[in-house]
Amino acid sequence: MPASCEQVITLDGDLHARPAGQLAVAAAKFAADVSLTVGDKTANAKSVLAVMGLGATTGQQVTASATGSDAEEAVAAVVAILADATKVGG
Amino acid sequence: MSPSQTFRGRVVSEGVATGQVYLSSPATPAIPAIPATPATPATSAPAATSATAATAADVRAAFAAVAAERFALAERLRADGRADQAAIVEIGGLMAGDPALVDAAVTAVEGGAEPVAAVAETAEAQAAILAALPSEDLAARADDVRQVGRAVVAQLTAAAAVPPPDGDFILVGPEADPADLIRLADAGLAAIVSVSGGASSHAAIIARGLGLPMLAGADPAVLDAPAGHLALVDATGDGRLVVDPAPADLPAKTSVAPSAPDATPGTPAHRTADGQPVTLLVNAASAREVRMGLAAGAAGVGLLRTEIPFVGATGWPTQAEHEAALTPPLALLAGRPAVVRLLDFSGDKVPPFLAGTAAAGNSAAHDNGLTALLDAPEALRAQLRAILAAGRDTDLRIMVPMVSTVAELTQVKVALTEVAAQTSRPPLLGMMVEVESTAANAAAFTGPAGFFSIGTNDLTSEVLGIDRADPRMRPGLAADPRVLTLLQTVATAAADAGLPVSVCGDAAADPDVLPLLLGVGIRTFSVGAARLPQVATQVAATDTARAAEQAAAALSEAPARPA
Repeated sequence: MPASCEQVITLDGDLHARPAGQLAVAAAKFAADVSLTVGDKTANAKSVLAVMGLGATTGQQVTASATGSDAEEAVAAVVAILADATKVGG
Repeated sequence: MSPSQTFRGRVVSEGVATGQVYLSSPATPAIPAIPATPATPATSAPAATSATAATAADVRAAFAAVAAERFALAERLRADGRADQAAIVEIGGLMAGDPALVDAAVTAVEGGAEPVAAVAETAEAQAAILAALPSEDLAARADDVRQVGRAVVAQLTAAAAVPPPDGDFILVGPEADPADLIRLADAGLAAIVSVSGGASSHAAIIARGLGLPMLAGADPAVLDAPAGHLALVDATGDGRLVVDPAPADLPAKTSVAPSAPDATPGTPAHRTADGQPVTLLVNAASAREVRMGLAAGAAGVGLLRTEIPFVGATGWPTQAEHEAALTPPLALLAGRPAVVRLLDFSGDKVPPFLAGTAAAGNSAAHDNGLTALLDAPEALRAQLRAILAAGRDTDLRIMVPMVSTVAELTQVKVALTEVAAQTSRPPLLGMMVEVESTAANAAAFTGPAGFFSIGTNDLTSEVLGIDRADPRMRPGLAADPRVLTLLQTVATAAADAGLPVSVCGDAAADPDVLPLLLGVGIRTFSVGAARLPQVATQVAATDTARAAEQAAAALSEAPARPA
């Protein structure tokens, strides 16, 4: 039974290309499927293009969710990047 | 007429030239060629040409090749301390590996779509999504997706392997491969622009030797410059590449790069102001440099760099490969001095197949090249055989680089004697003096060596403790009394033993150093072709007695050498 995990974070800055790249690199390290949801748009976190395509901006809520054996670690890693990397760009 | 675009780069070889933009081939041509679409934008790729087209697997491989190329470039940029540019290039690599792009294109091809059109359309669809976003940062990435799409199409159509345009062209690429410069020198290469690299890279040395303007460290955006468009390289002051320049920007002459002159027979004798004969030779790695050197009055070649065509090699070159590289330059030197240096895979010239061994702990950096060659006796013999064959009509001499022990020289001598057994007249075997301890003990080498040639670049770098790649490193530093003392030691040892001695490093072309070299008794110089006229002029204006006084004065500033 695959584990699943979900966490919501409010962005402190816009989700620019560089943090999107960091997210894709980080998410790719996990076996779990990892996705980000903003409003009605959901993106595969392992796809830099999809993450950029969210066009997420400061103040928006992002839901990070993962399904798979390492889902919990994957969500933690993704949320850490969202919290850290979007702070600077804002 | 398109508006002009300007890209900045560091000047590593001075000059001004114009030509068409020619994008260098990717390092690994991944895909068997399909009929190339002409140099039109990828989006208009016709479906008609691709009956034999690439398969879905080829499309996937082309994306992977582009991703690998971007990541490799990002790594080099990061090593150069250009982290911001590295991050942007890296995002291009991530895009080229992105399932949203790759899987969509592959699925379309599996469904029967024409591969080139499928890649272009998939990239455009992704670009459109980004372009529609309100964030300027993200919208600007739309062009990056399109660029990745074009690079993948170039891989698929082997557009990058298209031969250079007719007429003059400017080679633009992520890095400049010295072997490419030599290969293209006779085909109309007018200037070089690379994203990585610096003034001490061997590509820069070759460019200066060929008298071709070169910019390194250019903005990565230059990789998307439109192929075939007219461009201007201004490598004076602040370096820039201007694509589609306004007519007013063009220099009056289309190019100040020296044209390849025909070699004129008969070598003018060079003499100093007081009538002392001086021999001027040219440093070369290509037939073009040899032609330029002979036309500029060189008596022959004083340093043929044999490793340059092989810096990207995946194994030791075979005898046939050596001969193929050596024949064009040596064929121009019938009856003339030709000093051929054995493979010098050291410093930034370590090819992939030796890189591992160097990293594995050949501690002394200057040991790598020669030690590796001596450890591969068959590779050494293959090169010696090729040199004898290709240089049989020349006044041939063979030179060992980076010698630090007599045993190394002896080892080459044994191999040469064996290989040359059937040769009526085995060539003279000499050595480069470019290791500090070798220079200090030069007298010990006069027995086995047939001649000395001083490599001032490596010697100066070692004596002064400045890395060759350090921006502070320049040929004029050979005037430092600590270096000059060693040069005098070598010149004296050679004179005492009746051995020919020359200088083949960049210092011989430095106007401040040349009189000092004449002053310590050196009469043979080998320099880059583009520097010959200036060196000849200065030799003719120099009085050797005055030069000797100058050298003595400079030497008197030297600290006493420890016993």
